[in-house]
Amino acid sequence: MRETFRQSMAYLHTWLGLALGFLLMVIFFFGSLSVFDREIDRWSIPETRAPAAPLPSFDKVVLPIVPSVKPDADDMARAAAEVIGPLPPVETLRATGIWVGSNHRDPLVRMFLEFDIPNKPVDPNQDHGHVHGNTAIDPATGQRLTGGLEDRLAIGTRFFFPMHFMLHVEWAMLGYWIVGLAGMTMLAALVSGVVMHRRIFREFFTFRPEKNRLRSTLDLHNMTGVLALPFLFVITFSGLLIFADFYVPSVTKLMRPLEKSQETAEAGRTGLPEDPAGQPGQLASVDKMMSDAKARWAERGVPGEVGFVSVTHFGDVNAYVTVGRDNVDRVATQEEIHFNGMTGELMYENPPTRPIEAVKGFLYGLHFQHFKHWGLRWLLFVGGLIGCACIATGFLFFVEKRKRKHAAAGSIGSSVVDALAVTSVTGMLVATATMMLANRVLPVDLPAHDTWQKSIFWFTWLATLVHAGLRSKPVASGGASSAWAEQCWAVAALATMAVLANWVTTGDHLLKTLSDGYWPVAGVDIVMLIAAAAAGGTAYVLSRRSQFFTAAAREMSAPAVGSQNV
Amino acid sequence: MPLERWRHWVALASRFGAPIVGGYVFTYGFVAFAALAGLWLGLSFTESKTLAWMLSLVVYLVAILWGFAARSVTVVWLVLAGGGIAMSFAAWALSREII
Repeated sequence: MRETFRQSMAYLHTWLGLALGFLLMVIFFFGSLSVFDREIDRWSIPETRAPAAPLPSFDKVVLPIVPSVKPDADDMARAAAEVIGPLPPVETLRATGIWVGSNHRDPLVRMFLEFDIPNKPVDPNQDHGHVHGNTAIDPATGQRLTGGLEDRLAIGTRFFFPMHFMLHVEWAMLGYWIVGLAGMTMLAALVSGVVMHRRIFREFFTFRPEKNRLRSTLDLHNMTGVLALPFLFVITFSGLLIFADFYVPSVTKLMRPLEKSQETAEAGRTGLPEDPAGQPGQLASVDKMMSDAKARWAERGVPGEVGFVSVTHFGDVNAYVTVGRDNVDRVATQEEIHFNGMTGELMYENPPTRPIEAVKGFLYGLHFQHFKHWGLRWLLFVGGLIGCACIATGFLFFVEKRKRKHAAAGSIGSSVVDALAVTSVTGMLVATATMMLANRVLPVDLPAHDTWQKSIFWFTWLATLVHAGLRSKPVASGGASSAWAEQCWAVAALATMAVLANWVTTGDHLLKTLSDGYWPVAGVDIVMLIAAAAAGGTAYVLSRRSQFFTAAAREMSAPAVGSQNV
Repeated sequence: MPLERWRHWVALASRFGAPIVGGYVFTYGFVAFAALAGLWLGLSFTESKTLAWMLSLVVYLVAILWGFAARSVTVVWLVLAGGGIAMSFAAWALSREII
């Protein structure tokens, strides 16, 4: 639509990037934090600071806990809206599916239960519905997590992690859709960004910090973008792929009868029953199936531990048990063996993965990151932060490039963008650090302890928006907002205070966690201290620069007055 | 003048809507059609769906890029939304034929 292809790509890059870049910043930042979600969980619930635990005995530990787990109230409400007629009371629902799994970074064993509901779904394309319940097992005691710990907010897995794929906007699943659109925008921005630049490989090595701010901002934007291009593309692509069946449900919506018949045929090939028989049945020893599976993996030359166990049609004679290998030694996701739940006999072993599923498994695995490779884990964390830097410098460039023109035209455009950029970059860090601090400072017996932490996060973030708005006036006249420096100071102070609060409330200071080798907590503390130092350094440079510019402006104006006499 | 302004905003919304909304409709139809085509070519339905979803991200991406680069917004709307609806309908009808 513009004169050339390159110009229309530049138009797309600028305006779609601006519209969704603020959200991309949030997605990339919380996605990066999610790389260490279990570690942040440990930091935020100090009672669970223990070494990672293997899967306990299914027969002796997991099974006795099953009857005590009830469906989630939120999930009951969701299901009630999707089915015809009222749901049966919670107490009468029995678990029909069990999933239990461990993670090499988690001291808790996670357990998810599925409960069949008899109601017919409103949407005839849907299969009959389920509700879900979950809990965690403390392997040290072999019991459900107690002492109110189950309801405590695990900030890593329950707040930061969902933030990066649904923004905590639950209404109509809007958050998922927004993130999907932002993800597509990211892909389009990457491609159009490459097209925009003729000398892409020279720019790869170009950074001129001494040049004017406009030029060095653009250099940094290009350098981070190109340097991390493969990572940024693959992580965005794989993230979108994970939700692709949700984003584009056309197969189910348009071709449900065909899909259903294909599913039945595929189930027939595996021999795994698709539906329960409706007759109660007693589960055989699952522990035996687990050791059987391990023996089979060893035989095939891939010895390993069990990562998860699931029971389908639990309580029915058609029950079958799936045992999954803990694939800590590879990127791609699970290898699975299925056993007859009644007899414990092998039913079906997933055949060697075919190419299409292997590619999917690798992309999923790269995004879910269940592997045990700390170097790669840090690389992915840093990659995500480089993505943040790329997006943030995009905003800075947008503002720097236009603010004088806007000032001359009396437009407030660049000052609005600058305020939003402050909010989505430093404001987000302020809110995150405040939440971490609140987590350590708020008494745990405070009613709605989790809601308090979340509210503090959201209101702090809102406050940074107000602050950025109030400070953005100079941008409208071509100057710089002092909000950047002020919020950087706040980040430095809050992150340091969070580390200190962790020491005071738990006694786990860095010397102790480091000498104990307890990296989950030591790592979170160290990253917060590095963030504090970086924010403090940035704030210092920014304030000095603004003093320098103020002084320079004064000096410039003095001779200017004198020069009139010459 | 208000009419002028109004026209300007509609044109702008259409400029962004054609690649994004039109592109989505195209992708929606593409996934169903491609899943069906894969099945016809001998893939298992699970594999066929997976491949369709992987390709769908590339298809949507190309649709967005082309939608912004194309000269005529009307052509973009026609090709993307029209193509998407056609593929959706074809997939719907054909899937009922072959069961």
